[in-house]
Amino acid sequence: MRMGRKGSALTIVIIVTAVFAVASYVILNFVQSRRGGSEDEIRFLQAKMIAGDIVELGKYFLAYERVIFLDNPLAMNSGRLELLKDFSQQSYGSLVATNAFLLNSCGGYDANAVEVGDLKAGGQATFCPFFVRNPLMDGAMFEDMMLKMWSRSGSVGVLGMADGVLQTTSSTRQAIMTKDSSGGYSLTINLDEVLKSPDNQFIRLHTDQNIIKMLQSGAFDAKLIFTFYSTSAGFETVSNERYVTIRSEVNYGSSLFRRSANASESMILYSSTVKDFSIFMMYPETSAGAKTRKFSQAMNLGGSESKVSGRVFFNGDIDVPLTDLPVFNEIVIISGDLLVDSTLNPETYRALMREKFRKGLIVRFPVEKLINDGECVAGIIMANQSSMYCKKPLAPTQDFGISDYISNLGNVCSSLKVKIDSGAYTYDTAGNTNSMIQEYCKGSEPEKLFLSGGADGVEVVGSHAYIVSPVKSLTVKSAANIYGTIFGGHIQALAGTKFYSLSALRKGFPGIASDKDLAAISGEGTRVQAGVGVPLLNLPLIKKPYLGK
Amino acid sequence: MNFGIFKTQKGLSILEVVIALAILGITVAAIISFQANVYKQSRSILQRSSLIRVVYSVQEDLLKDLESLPFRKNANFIQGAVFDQAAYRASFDDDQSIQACYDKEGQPIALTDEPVCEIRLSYYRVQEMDRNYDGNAVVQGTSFNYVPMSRLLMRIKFVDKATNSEKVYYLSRLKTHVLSF
Repeated sequence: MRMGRKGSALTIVIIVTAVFAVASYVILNFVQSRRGGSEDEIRFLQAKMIAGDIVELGKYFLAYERVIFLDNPLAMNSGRLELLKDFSQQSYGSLVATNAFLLNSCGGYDANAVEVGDLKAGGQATFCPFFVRNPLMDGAMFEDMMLKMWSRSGSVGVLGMADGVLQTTSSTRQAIMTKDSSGGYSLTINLDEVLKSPDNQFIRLHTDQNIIKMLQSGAFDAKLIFTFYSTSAGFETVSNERYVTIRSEVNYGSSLFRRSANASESMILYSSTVKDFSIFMMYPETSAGAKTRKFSQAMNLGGSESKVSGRVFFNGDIDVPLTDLPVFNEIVIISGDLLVDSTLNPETYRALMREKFRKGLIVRFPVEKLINDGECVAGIIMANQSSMYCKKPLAPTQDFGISDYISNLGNVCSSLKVKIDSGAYTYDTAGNTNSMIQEYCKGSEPEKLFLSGGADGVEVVGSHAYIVSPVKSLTVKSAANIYGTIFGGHIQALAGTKFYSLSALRKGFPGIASDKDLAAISGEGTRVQAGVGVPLLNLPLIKKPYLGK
Repeated sequence: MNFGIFKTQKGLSILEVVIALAILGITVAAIISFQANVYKQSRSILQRSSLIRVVYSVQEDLLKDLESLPFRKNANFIQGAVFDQAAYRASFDDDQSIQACYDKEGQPIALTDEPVCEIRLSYYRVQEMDRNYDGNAVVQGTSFNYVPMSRLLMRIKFVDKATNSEKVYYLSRLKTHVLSF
């Protein structure tokens, strides 16, 4: 062979071929790695989806659960269910002045800052998100009495549990929160074992998910992290607002190939107060005064031409066609179902839902378990300090209802009919021979807020009416503006009636000529006197942050 | 045979040329095959990356609108403690799942234009297990909305351009119905 000779075609060809072979090898490897990378992208998408699910679960915990079991938050067993039932009987507190707020259902401090126990329930470590929703604690109090007490300087880290007991303990209490440099308090829950458990019912892993292989191989971990922001973080929190970030971290793979998928959501939790509700039908009745759970029998708000600007609670089912409902500009909560024509095609249904329920509809709201329920002895509400809800029957055949409520909380005028004409109200004392009642129940100056412990019958004519009161039966005989919160009862209204909660009022409405008028009627301070300590639903609402506001 | 020609004569021999041409031919054939393979692989990679983007953005859109999406009534399997994969797959029948079709940019396409459907999506919504203090599942009824959680279930179908075969993925997302305002 003439290997050393210049110009050999064979040499050149061999060299070119070798270069090509090397280049092909490199390129093919690169393409293969990219292909592997795209597989990993799918895995990463799945990890991100799991992270998103964990955040949703965190929202559920904060919003609905009263107790989180820190060692295994998702596992449910009968013992825990019993515990949860016990908790559900405990009071959230109410806006009624005489209420002594129950602060110690999961340990912590009582209202006098006396330590009443650690953060355990039934021997198991717990976290009580309902403190977060406590509407009687402003930000500073919440931080002092809750966050500080469960935190310590420096990182607490991921909670370790042994036999249901936190490993990070101190002589006085368990530190479960880390106070970070920004002033936030973080609680981290390890979800590794929960996710790997075959009994895991919440973060369902619907595969073909190849992330599962990672999860099963052990190169996988997941965390749920709550961070609360209060006074020391610069958040001036009013009593019914809580600033919180819910974050999740899902990590998989090992060493150089480890990847992390995160999701987070920042929110302001906000408990409803009386100002938010326009209609609160705890005890719906027919026009004849019989109890009912049917919207059609308890409320005629005037049909599709009426509007409701304020939250609505109805203790029953909505059984009227969607087209016949008024427009609800705020959230509607019902304890029953929305009984609509199931043959509606999805698009029509969705369009109607959007048109009628502008902020959404919550059905099957577990009202009895989330609202205070007083117990009655001989017709007087004795327990739970609520004076609002009386679950035990007064008599074997009679449940507590709106009439009982009014007779308990009302005054001598409550049994009289009331007529409201463009803001001014008068009691109908005709036929009543009691001089004291005739003298006491004269009525009001025009434009005064209608305050009462309740009224059996209210009739509205003219342009508007202020009603922040229990009302057994409300009849609106003109297309009026109804301001306030109606706690009923029964409502009959004409087409075109507009209902406004106190928080929805604006200057320029009939009877609200000035800012002074607006302040006078929309002040929250009137709620207790009005006898409507009602809408303390602790309903989990999230305020969306709006930049620039 | 006289092999001296290879040792003494300058220039290209016929044999050299033949061997060189043979190597070149094989190389060219390899290049063509390699190029086709790389092209196919690249399309697959691009397609899958695009798919991930589309799927995630579609998911986010559906989640935002989830509360106004009807519940699937007959997906009782979802309430069981033990997840049944076969039942899950079988649940994506085309009669009751909502069907959607997207191009490679994630833009929805009318189902009637299916030949240009890059990604075919089937999805429905079920109530997630309701642990609402008693741990019992709420019976699936005719209502369209429940408290407090629901789950979006999705099946994604597309034709993998590398293998020219149909790929199917099953995915789901959880949604907590916390009210916002």
